Amino acid sequence: MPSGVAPLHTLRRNGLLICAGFCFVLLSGFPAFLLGRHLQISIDFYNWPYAYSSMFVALAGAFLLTDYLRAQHRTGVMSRAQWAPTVVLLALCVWALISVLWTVAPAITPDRAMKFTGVTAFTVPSRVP
Amino acid sequence: MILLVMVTRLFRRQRGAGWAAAGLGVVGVFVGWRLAFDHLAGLTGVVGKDSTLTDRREMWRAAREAIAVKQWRGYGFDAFWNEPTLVNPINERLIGIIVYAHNTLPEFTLGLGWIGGGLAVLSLLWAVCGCLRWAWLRGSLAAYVWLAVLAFTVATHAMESVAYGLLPAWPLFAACVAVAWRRGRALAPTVDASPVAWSTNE
Repeated sequence: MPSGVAPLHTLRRNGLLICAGFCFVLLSGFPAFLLGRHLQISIDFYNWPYAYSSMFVALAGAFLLTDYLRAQHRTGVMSRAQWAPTVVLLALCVWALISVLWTVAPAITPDRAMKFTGVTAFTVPSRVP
Repeated sequence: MILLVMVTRLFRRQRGAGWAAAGLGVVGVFVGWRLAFDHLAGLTGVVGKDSTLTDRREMWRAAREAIAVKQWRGYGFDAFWNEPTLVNPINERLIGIIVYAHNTLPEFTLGLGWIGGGLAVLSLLWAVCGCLRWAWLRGSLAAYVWLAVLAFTVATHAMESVAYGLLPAWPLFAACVAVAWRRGRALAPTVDASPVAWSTNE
């Protein structure tokens, strides 16, 4: 490796910490509040200043966390016990999806359950660390 | 958070300290919960808010009453607040227009019954125990950062709901659930084996 170039794991580690700090600032809602006030958009969860910033934090956080762990544990297979939390989350998703069978709002539940499953599945690493 | 960092760094190498800290933590949470709700009016008055937490306690009561009607399977994911015949009577009782439960756990239980609520509680316990275990065993900056992220996420889910504005932030919580537990387990053999050092190198 050429001198002066930080190793990949150092860049990953520092990137994780910098991004975590950035996420904290965004999660506080203050940047979204300022942006909404500047653009005269009311602060509501579904308006884009808040929705985009929280979505960015969620995706960046999940991606960096799984990438970080993948880098730390390149080898090995999860034990049965380590699979358990993922199975619980997936069970929650499956239960949400099949709740269309008894929902009181059949026009709403399929859409929301699919979105919920989609964002949860994003956190499951494609290659198990 | 500062107290947690101090406790983990001072006591984690002592025999049995982990279980003692866990026990004290559970008692502390229980006592803190009781004290907070016993003196809620005084506490919220300090920040100029009312003791109903902007009608949240009434919403939680309404959610509990609705859960009692359909206990095991619930009303369907995110369905309850979108059914006018169920929501209108609640809206008539409260001042604001209620669109969701303002807490993720009753929200899950309302939509998915005790089965879904139980899975959500299990996820929460896994995330909290995993992150604490990770911080206790390793005490690294990364562990503390993710513990803080989890604390923030749990605090927001206590006052808002995954069915409304917090759906975008759900993956962060879900990642904490899956990942923190893996880290805690993976690090288990290293306890008491290495000197305490502030390190980000895991």
